[in-house]
Amino acid sequence: MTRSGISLGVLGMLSGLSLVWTGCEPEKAEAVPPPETAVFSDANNYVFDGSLDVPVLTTASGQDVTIDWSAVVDDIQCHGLDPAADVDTVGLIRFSSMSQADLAAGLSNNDLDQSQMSGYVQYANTTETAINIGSMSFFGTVIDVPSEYVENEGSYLLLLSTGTTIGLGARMLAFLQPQVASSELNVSVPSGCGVLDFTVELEALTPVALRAAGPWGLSWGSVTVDGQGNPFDSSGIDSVMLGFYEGVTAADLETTFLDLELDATQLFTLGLTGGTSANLADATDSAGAAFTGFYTGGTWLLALRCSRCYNPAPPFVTLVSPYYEAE
Amino acid sequence: MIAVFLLIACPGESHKSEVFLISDVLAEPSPEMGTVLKVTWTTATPVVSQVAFGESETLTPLETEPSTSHEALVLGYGPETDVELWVRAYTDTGSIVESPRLTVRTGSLPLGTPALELTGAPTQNFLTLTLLGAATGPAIVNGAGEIIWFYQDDRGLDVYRARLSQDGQHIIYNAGSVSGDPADNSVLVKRSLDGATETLTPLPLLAHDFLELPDGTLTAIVVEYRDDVNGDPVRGDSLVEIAPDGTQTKVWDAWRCFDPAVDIGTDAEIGWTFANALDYLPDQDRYALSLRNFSTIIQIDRATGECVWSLGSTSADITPSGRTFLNQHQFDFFDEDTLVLFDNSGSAEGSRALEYRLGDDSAEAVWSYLSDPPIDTFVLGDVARLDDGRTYVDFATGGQVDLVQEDGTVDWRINSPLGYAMGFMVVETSLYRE
Repeated sequence: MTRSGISLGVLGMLSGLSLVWTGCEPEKAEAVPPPETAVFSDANNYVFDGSLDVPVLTTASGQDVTIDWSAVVDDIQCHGLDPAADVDTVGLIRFSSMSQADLAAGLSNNDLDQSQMSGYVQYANTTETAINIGSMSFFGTVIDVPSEYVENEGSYLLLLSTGTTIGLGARMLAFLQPQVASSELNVSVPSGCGVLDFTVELEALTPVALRAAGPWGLSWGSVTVDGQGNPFDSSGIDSVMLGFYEGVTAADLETTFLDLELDATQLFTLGLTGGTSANLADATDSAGAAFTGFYTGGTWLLALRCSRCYNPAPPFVTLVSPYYEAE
Repeated sequence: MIAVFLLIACPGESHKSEVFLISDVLAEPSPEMGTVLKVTWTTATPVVSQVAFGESETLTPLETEPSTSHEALVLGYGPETDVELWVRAYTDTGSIVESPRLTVRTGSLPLGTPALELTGAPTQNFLTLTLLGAATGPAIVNGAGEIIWFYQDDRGLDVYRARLSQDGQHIIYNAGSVSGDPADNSVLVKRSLDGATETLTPLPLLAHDFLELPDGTLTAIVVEYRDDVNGDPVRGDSLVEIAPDGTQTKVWDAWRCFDPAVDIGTDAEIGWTFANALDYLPDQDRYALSLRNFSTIIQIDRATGECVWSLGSTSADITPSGRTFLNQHQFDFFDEDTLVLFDNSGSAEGSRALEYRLGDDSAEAVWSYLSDPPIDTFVLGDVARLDDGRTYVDFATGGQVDLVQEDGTVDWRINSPLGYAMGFMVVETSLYRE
């Protein structure tokens, strides 16, 4: 088990990952070849356990505080970020009945309901790296800073996001904490490395057996729990990712989990329009070349991804154990 | 999925002339809306027929004209669900003939459709509503708290209201913006229930709400700007009717009943009257309109455009007694004595449903409901009173809808995940119009 990173609740970013081969010797099968379509089960899925160490920025209460994010050069996955060009939306969410600790846990576990939010304002950013809270609004209603940004009214979560869809694409987060005792009118958001702490378990899962030369049918209609232990929602699965990692073990991948897309020796993806099945024969690499089969020398990892999901951690990640026909 | 049936049984007294063949029964998910099953079949002789489905033997509307070629939509099921269905035909002698039963599996909903969490026992009702936020578009939720129909609208606008059309063939919804300036490219969209087609009615400056009159006329709240005596723009509201032939007619504007120099509400920075919810009272041929910045609900005579009744805090004929409301949104004139409304900001504890007992010149607050834990719904919100006395309360941006008894007991609740708000709602006991 190792540390890796993915995301958490509101933020998001990771987009994909997926299969890994365990680095074992090829399975020579005297046994019966696996079925033409692999039917995934919960035993095939990884386990993701994440927590957030969200920075707390204390400010004056009821004052039009300036928020500066020019120092945010890495997101919470420790990937590079241009604070001027990559932050399209600055959002501020108030949770009246939740402590910062409970909120951070809810974000990590991806189990927050909309009803727990008691207010939301945002700012559509172009190239700025600092704004005043008073410039934020929602549905035409501007935040009333003196009454709505005050101490003891709940937890205020600041989100810096790429894209304009509410709740998606968050790159960095911080708590704003208005306090009557504070006179701070300018706060600087720190960079994101270290905010996300997590462990990923790949080695304990049951790899999915697929024939090395195909067919490579995939079916996930029987999966009931996602990698974080929440109910598996197949309606959000919009792509399959298959990665090959030469000379790398599953244990290695656990330590570099946030970089699965970056580290892959070969990466294939397959966009979906819905449903609970796919065929790897339709997957292609970045140059458009089709996946032609499994081979030895490393680990194959497969992920079912949800780009519109609030939580960027892939709902399903497994390793592939290719089956090679005996010669 | 496709199934082909063969012949048929003829229950009751056998009559040669009544024996006919139901054939070529095909049933498959609509390619554009996988939870809707499209069923087609033929009959050897012209008959009226329909599809029966499910354990409760729900029926699609009976055809009005005999035919040999038939089609119907099976509605009401979630994704990846097995549905048993069969065709029922009626001969001219009164016999009922049924095809063999077949089982067809529904398909999937659009990617990104969120899963709702249900608390409580399922009901038989459906809610037509909208989603806003991480997914935006019209939706239908069944009594099990499952989204069974959703269309992702990618126009980049917000969708506040969706309604099942009077003809039973479409979902009609608005796509506009009330965030800051209203949108010039706002539209009313009529999308077929099978998801395959849409008809657009461009209507610039659409506000939150619209309705469909019994004759198919659509009436929408539209923002209207006029200059005040100083030449400064005043953002008021109007009602625009769109006849079935497409003719657009403004039938009311706020200046007919109010004067911006005299009738002054709150939150002037977002507009003057800021109309945000619309209903129609068929027995009186009146529109009922919520004016957020007046914290007032008015009734407008449709024939004359006169304001004939008002309840609220600003320029109103009737002032509420007991509890008052502030920045309210949708409402339900349940009967001539009862008004239920969604009060966004009248209580410091949270947004609530409020019920008023109406008199000739009075309105007494007699009931209220707050969610536990409380929810602050900062925009939108809706209520619907049922004949059995229970009330649906839609907390909108709070992502929660409750069905509550008079004593506050929650019989049914749905919650959306963080990032998904809801718009207005319509309660339907059936997805079919007879």
